[in-house]
Amino acid sequence: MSRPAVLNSSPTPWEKLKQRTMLSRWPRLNRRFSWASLLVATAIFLVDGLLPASGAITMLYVLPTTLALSSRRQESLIQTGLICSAFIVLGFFLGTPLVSAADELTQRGCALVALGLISWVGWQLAESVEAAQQLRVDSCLRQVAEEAATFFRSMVDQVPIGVSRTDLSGRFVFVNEAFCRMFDASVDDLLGRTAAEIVPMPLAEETAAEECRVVEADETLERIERVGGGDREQFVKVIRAPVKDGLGQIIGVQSVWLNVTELKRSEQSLERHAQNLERSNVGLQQFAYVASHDLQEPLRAVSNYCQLFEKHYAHQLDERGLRWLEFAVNGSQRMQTLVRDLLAYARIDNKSRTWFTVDSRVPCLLALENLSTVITETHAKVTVGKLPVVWADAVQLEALFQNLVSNAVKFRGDRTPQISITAEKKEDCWQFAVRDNGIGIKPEFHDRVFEIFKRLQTSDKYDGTGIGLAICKRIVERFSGTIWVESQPESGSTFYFTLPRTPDCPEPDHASQ
Amino acid sequence: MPRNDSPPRVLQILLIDDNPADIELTRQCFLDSRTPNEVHCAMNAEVALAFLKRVGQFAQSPRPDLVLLDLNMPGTDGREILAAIKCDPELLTIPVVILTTSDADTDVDGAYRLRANSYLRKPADLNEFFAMADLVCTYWGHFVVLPPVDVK
Repeated sequence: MSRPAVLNSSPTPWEKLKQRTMLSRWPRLNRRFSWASLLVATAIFLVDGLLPASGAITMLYVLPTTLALSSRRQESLIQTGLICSAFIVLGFFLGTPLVSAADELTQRGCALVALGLISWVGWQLAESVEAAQQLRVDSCLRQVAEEAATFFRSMVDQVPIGVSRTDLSGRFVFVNEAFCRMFDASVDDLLGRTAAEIVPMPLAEETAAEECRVVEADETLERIERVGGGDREQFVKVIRAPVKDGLGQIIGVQSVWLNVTELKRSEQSLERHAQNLERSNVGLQQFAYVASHDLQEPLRAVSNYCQLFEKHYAHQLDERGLRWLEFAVNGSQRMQTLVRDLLAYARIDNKSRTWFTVDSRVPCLLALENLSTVITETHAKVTVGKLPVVWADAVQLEALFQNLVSNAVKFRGDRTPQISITAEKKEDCWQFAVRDNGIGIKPEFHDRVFEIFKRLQTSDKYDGTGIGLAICKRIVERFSGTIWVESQPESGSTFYFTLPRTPDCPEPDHASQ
Repeated sequence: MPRNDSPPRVLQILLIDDNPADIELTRQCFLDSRTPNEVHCAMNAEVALAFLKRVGQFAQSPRPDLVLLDLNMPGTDGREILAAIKCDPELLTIPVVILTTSDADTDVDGAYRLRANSYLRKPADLNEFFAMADLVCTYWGHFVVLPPVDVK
């Protein structure tokens, strides 16, 4: 049995009351006494009436009367008494007298008196028994009620939830300990007072207004209120319900005060963190954007004036001067490229976040077209497999393909580049693969290639700033995908990336060479 | 052919830019152009508007045929100057060409919305800049029919 033992063994107050007053056993027992007394009386009457006997036999009627007395029921006593008296009188006329009529009358008169006496005593006795019984029931009832009240009180006081009840004028008629703690007051302080007298003004007004609403609407209302200020500030969820009397008339409002400060605090701190993060993200984006914009101006001046200087004064410089000037021009131009790339990187997130269903084949072919010169020059062979419809942005997808393919061509080594672009359906996404036969990447660099401005090769061998894969990573992550590389030095690389599948994307049905 | 038979006139250009290095570079570029031109400079909004309206010390200055305007300037920036020119019935016929380093979509769109006549991005490479200056001069000074000055 999964129910706790306490529940099974603990009697209800009504059961306790029954046990203590033995009310259940009494009526059956009493009724038996009543029936027995009637039976005995009838038997005596039959003997008295049918057999020749003296009137003294009527003294036997004391027996049923005493039995009736035992029943402790007044009505049974009266009943038996009356019946016995009737039998005594009837027996006088029916029976065959053994003694003289006068003796007979005397004997029956004595019996009647005796019966009367017993009945009177019995009546008095029953009366006092009844009173004692009532007293006992009353005290039991009181005790049970008190126990129930104590039980309820200790339960209500132990729960960490404030409970209060107010009458229609807003005065507290009941408060529990948690409620007292919440307002830092004692029960006596609170009872009979209104909210306006114990809580600060705005809350008091809100409380009164809310209670009015509960009474008017006749329904349970819920709201979060702020209790106390400064360090003692608490957030309390208050559930208010109307209290009705037996006739269904609203007589007050019952409220449950749930301290939700912790919850509220963590909610607030979560919100604050989210806002901070959002702010710092926006700030970072703006920083990258503004920095690269503002960096461009002075850079342009340096580069332009170096060139202008060269143009106008080259004939006045010796070979060394010209070389130095060239270094300056190259340096500033390289810096310009870096800044431009940084700007491109920063802009990925500045672009609108609208996603479309995109046939990924289109941006892929556009990217290949943009790279047609370098593809022709290097005699690269590019194979495009079946590409699906995905959920992304076509322009950024084009940039993604272009970066990956141009890398594949750029890092071709001595071989003729062979590049394949394929896609594979996975459980919840499409997994694309751009495979080449180039110089490959050492395993220890597989993660670092995606870092911004990370270059694994010297600039005299391969130009570029190292922004391409960082941009790819950013684009893929924007579309909730991931990007990674599988590669071994000298045996080509395969760049994988995933893109979300459209809710009902069609299967790819075309392939091209 | 417009004005082909008339003697070559000097294209009056007002360059509004706050950066002396940029001013000199632009000047230098336009100096090399084959189309005769004269570049006047204004380094802030007040000077620029005074020059355009020919008030104060600029009373004797020529009315510019073309305004070259940088967008990002301290104080009253290029966008506000552009708006001021295009809101002034006396000045709104003067072509305004934006010459700036920014190619942000919002800047380009904003400039055309404020009725800019062209939007040019300063080329990063010096030789391109020279080529562009020459083209601008040839286009506005030679081919474009500019609005007549004294017609109401």
